[in-house]
Amino acid sequence: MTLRSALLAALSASAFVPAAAQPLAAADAFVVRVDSATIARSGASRVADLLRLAGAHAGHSLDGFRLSFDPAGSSSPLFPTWQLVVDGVPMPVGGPFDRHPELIPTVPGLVREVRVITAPSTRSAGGRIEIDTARPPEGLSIAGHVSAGNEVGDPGPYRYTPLATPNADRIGPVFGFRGAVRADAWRVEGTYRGDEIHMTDPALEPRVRLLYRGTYRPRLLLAAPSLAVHRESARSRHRFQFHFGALRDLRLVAETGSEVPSLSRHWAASAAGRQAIGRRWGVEYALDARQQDILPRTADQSVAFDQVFARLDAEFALRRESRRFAIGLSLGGRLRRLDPMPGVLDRTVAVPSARLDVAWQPTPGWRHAVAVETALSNEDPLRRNRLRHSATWLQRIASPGGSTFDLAAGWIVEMPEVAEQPAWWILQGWRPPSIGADDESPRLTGAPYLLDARTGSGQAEWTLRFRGGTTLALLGFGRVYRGHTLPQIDLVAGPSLAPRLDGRERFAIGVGGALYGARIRVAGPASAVAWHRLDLTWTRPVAEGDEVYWRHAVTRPAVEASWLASTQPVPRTSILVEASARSSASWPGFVPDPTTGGYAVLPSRVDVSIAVSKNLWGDRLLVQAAFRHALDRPFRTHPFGQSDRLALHLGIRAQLGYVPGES
Amino acid sequence: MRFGTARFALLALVASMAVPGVAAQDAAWSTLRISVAGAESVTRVGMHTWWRPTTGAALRVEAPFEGGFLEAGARFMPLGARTDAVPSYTALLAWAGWGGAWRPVRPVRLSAALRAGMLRMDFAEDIAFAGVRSESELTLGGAARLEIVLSGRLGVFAEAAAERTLTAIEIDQVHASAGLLLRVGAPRWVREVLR
Repeated sequence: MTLRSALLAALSASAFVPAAAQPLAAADAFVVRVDSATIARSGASRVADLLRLAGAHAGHSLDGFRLSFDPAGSSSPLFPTWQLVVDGVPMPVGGPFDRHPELIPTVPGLVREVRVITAPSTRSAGGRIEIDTARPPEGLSIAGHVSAGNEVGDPGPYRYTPLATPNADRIGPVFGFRGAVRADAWRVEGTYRGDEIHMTDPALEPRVRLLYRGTYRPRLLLAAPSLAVHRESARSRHRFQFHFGALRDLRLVAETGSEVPSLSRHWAASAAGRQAIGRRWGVEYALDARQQDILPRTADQSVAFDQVFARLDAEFALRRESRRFAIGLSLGGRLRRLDPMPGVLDRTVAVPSARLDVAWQPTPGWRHAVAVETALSNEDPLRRNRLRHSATWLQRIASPGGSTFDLAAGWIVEMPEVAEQPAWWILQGWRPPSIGADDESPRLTGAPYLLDARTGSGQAEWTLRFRGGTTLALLGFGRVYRGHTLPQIDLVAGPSLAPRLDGRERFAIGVGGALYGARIRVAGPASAVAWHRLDLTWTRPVAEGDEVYWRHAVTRPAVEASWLASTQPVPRTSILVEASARSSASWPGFVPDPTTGGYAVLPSRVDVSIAVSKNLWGDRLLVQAAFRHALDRPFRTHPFGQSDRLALHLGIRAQLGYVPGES
Repeated sequence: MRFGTARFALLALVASMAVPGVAAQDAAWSTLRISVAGAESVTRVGMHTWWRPTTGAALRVEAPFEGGFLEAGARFMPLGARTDAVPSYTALLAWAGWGGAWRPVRPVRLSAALRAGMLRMDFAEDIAFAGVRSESELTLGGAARLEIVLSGRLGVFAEAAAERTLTAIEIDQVHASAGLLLRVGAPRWVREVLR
């Protein structure tokens, strides 16, 4: 693949990220793909489901719904060194001011492909997750899915008797819907997504119920409509999208280990496009405006939670491409408005920036990219260096037998005001959400001034391809972090009469450490009608004496294994099995019992899900039964988090179309 | 009497042994066997200390499929309260199953199937318990069935179904049902959809 074709291929999937900043994995190195058939057969209906299918570590989840991503072990926990890109548009998630991951503007059940790329790009040192939504067919069409999960372990009729037991979770209905009109170059799409989870974990319920007015139970309710207009032609692509999401949430305050019933409302409007000029020149533009309100739904006056965060990103790029070179000059800016205490603090920060991206391919099998970006803002008097820079490097050595050896390396330096580190916002006046009396100004510990967050990344992958289509990939990787900001968790479960946890907000500046790992992946057909993928990942953090880094890094299991298999025992009927195993992990910031002390430890665990699907009416309908957590062992990803148990999900997916003039 | 795990497993095993189609198979989705029945609970388990099951009704549809047949059905059964301490409730079991059939002699047809479904319980109470008046629960089981064909399309049948409802205190029950069945060719649009 030439650089130009790679760039054009990248452009076809992206109208926002400059091609020169695309990740190195333009070919098939460092990439895990999940296609629409696998997504449909698995019953995936949430973003978390997609990432689990892609082998992206689903991190920890306190509430069973929110999660942190760690794609392919490429990031250390709580270091968001990866980038999430939905239909070519970057979607910041995971940070204190970012949208909930499930509020991204797509319907997960209608996704065409998910790609987890662990190679660095000049915009993300830890890799990238790309989600492409399926395009609707020509004419009028509707597509959607609905499912509901039934639980086990309820008291049933016994709840009225002396043998009553606590209730169990209810999951769903979960549904996603898209109506679309597509004609010539124009496409109009309207989508709606809804989701419900009613949780009953005895460990969770008392903490949450305490904060409600009345007898509400822990629950999550999601409603998210969107409208998008696209225009595409051979030489141009333009899109306008409006998205709204409302989530009645148990918002995780990770630093205090408690959940706060809240309402998150998220508005977003974006416009993005590109226009070719001649053979080699092109312009790209992107405007993205969004606002997020977070409101508490609690009677507890000690909850300081209201926040309004608005952001406007604009970027205009001029690019030139040739067979071996691509160069892009971008001018843009970021406008941030933070209103954490209405009437008291209303902070607006503008950060104009200029960026230069260059990529070149001196010989086939090589690709290099560098980027330099500078912020023109002088809002932060504590810093002097205002230059962000990044570079990536890839070499592929292909053997005659088709096996390949790929090397990738990169580094990225993030300015605090660009990376939007919590510590930088604290200096601007932001106060993290807090509960209880201990809500004095958050303390910053560590370096006396803010540092650039620097991340270095290197990895090598050796891929062997065997006759019959099976591949064996051996991956080694390392990440080095310097200058990051992390919350310092210091959390103790309260006495029995106070079910809420007691925590303290502190942020450490200048945190550094390293993470090394190796992975073995075997993938390919298991028979004429079966396919599977096995991943075994081992990671080892090196704290280099930094206790804050160590306390976060060891929350990641050292060994993870996942197995995904799909088969069609009879035509048009499929069985998909997901199995995963994780070693135990320590959570030093969490002390379950102050009288005995010691760390909270998540034991090693195994999880299995099985989905059976049948296509009906051609490929228009698919009915499905999926057993989640089929081993019926409590499955927990956070020491104080929600525990999931066996549930049967029943669902149906449909795709119906009508083209005027055709029967 | 609690329907023991061993007996439950035995019935499930018998049902699963019948799954590979041992009778001459109709083409997939070519016919529909529609049955209506009255149903009774024939076991007495712990919950029957508080509730008395009454006669229920069931509807089931079966169609030939690879390796046997697929079925879907629903059974509605009211349960009356034996004491004032608990409310009466109605139980609606909706299930799907996969099984096989055997015709030893005309006009007899034996079949067995594995089933998975949801049992929804709606409680007749004035004040909702913790905000809800109903519960749904996963139910697994197996069924054995004897059919006698009276004519080309019409028949009668009797069925025994063993079910385990996965509540915190698992509820194992056997239900017996008997009724009429009608065998019809699947309409073209039904075959089109199912195919």
